Amino acid sequence: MSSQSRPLGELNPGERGTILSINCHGPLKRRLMDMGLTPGTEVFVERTAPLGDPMVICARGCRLGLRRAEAGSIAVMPCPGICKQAPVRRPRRGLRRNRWRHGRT
Amino acid sequence: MMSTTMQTTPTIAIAGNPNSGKTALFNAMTGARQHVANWPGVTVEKKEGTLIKDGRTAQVVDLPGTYAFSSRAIDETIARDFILLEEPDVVINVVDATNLERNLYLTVQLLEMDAPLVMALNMMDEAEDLGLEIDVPGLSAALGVPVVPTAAVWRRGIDALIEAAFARVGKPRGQGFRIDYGPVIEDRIARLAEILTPGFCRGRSPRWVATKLLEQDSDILKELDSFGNMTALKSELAGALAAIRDAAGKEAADLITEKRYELAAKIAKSVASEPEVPRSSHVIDRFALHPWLAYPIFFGVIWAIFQITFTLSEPLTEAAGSLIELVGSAVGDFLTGMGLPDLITGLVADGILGGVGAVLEFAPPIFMLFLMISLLEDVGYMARAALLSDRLMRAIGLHGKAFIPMILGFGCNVTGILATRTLESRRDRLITILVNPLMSCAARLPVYVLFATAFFSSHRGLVVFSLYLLGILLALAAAKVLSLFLQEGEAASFVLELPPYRLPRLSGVLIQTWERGKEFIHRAGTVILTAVVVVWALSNLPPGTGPDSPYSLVGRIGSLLAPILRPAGFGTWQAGAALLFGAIAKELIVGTLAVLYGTGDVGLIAAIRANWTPLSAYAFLVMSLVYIPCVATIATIRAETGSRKWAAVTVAYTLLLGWILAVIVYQGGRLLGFA
Repeated sequence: MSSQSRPLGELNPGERGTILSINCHGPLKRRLMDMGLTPGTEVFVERTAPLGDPMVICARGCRLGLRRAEAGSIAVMPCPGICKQAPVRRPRRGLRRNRWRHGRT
Repeated sequence: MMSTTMQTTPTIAIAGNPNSGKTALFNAMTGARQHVANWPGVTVEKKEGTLIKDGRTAQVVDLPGTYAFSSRAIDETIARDFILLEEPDVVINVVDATNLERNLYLTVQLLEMDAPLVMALNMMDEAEDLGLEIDVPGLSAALGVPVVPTAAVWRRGIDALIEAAFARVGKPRGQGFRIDYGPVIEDRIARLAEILTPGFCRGRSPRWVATKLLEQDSDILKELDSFGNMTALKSELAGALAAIRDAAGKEAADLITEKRYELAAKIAKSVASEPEVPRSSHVIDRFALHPWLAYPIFFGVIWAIFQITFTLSEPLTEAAGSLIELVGSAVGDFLTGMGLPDLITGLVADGILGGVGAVLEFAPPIFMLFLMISLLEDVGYMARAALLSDRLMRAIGLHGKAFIPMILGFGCNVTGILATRTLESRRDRLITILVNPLMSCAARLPVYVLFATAFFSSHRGLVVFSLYLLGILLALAAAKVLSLFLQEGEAASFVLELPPYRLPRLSGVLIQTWERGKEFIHRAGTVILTAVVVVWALSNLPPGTGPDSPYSLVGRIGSLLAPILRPAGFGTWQAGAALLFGAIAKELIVGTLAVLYGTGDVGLIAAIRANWTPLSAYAFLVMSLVYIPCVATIATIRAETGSRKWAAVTVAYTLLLGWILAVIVYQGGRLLGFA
């Protein structure tokens, strides 16, 4: 790992970064990559479970629970502050009924 | 292959990510016309059903939800083999519209498999909630596949989807969808595909097989090994892998995966705005995963499950019990009136009906328990529960997902063991199965209550609690010990998706509960019924003896066991016989003692007090807790582990452990001066 990269397992809630490499083998690597944790993907550490392990991260729009030890094999380039644009604030639908729940699709 | 008419019923397979709403769609298409079986040779649920619409029929198969089609897990292999080798007429790919990128990763793999695809773009209601705009025609064009927006939970879009599915039947299979993996890999794929023989490919496209070989897919590699005479192919493969490694600096498998995700992301971004997780999920998780509220909430939920289960099912259980009694005596009278010998009458009225009664009486709590668990699964809380349990489970050598089977074991060990199917590692699964009988199931409670009332009335709650606690501690210790011995096989990784919280759909939950309950009744019921009849026969033979006689076969067996039980303080033939019956179903211990002492429920406590001491009673309770799992559990262990060996191991260790502990309690207690 380069001097600036850190293992995902060591990042704290609120930190985010871009995945550089997955440094493990076999089924774990397959599983991590199948869930979308590939080089170039942005990850955000949302929180940790009460006992400190596992941690909850966000990647590609979904939330994953991950053991710190296993997350340790993911090398990440941390981003200071905000890496990408702030989440889009979409207009609240207000009282308009959801077309899919109430017909009229 | 073009089918000339709809003579043969088309097969529709449903594939997609877990949590994408596959089950809701399957239920919407098949309703009550579904059944659950096992995929041949494995303990994975196979859900099949029949779709009937406007006079057209189709067989629908709900494939296991998967994130990919590698050979990492058996679910993936089953799904992929079904699509490739069974060649269903249509594959409906259920995609979560709020999570396009990751769902499309599976879609592109389906397209590479030349699956005859129709996409159900599901959860459109949630997409609308999030303000997501999706260019459906654009998506359809990008994939070359019909895309039907649906909200399966609300039954929206189902008709259009079924139309599209039937329209797909009979059309040519693949559309030649190809991902460009870059010049190096493409060159190697072409070279490998040239050498591949139709015999090896078995109908799968050479390009697909070649790609899998480069991915070093373990199942395909195994095929390669067992095919024989593939040295040319093997050396070409080795050369290809080395060349790719040199050129790209990483394994071919990684490159291929990355390219797939690149395409999935590109398509997703081109047709939809950026997804976000619903706010409600974040808010709820602030509590569900809160630093100090999370565990109290967790245990609260578990407590609530059992409270609700037993409270709501009590009236049903009582009703079932009364009904059986009524029917039993009516049948008994009828048969006696017809002049049949007592033996036959007894066999039918007491034996068979008694067995049926035993099963029916604990069916209500089991169904309720399944219902509660189903609700929690649909809501999405189970994933959080697994997350919270992982740390504790790992301390004893298990996996976070092992917690639910353990908890279910408190209701019934059979359901706990069936629930281990969610565990991916064979080793984790085996250990969880083997220690499950130590979780004190609901059937043991009447035994505890009886003896605790007889001897410890003011402290009986404490006594009962101590037994539950003992069971838990033994299970944890046993798991730890087993995990030290059973090192083979790797422990599963823990990468768990936390789906957004969703309101469960009652009809889906009820269908699932019914299916699971039916399976349970069938398994447990047949075993228990057989056992009851056998033991009934043993207790009424030789003719002239009866259940309350020490000279019946059961009585004699009890007398044989008595000396073994003496060091534990209860060396009577009645105790031996009761424990024997307890092997059928633990709650039978109480009923048996009542029969053997010739008392009803009322006189039983007096009989207990006359034949036991407080110390020997506690020893007896420890024995009841630990010794042998009930026959239904034994049968389930055999079925789920696929071997008689592990069932035998469980029987042996629990018998031994139960006896040893009971002896320690009794002898140790006597040394310490207790009676």
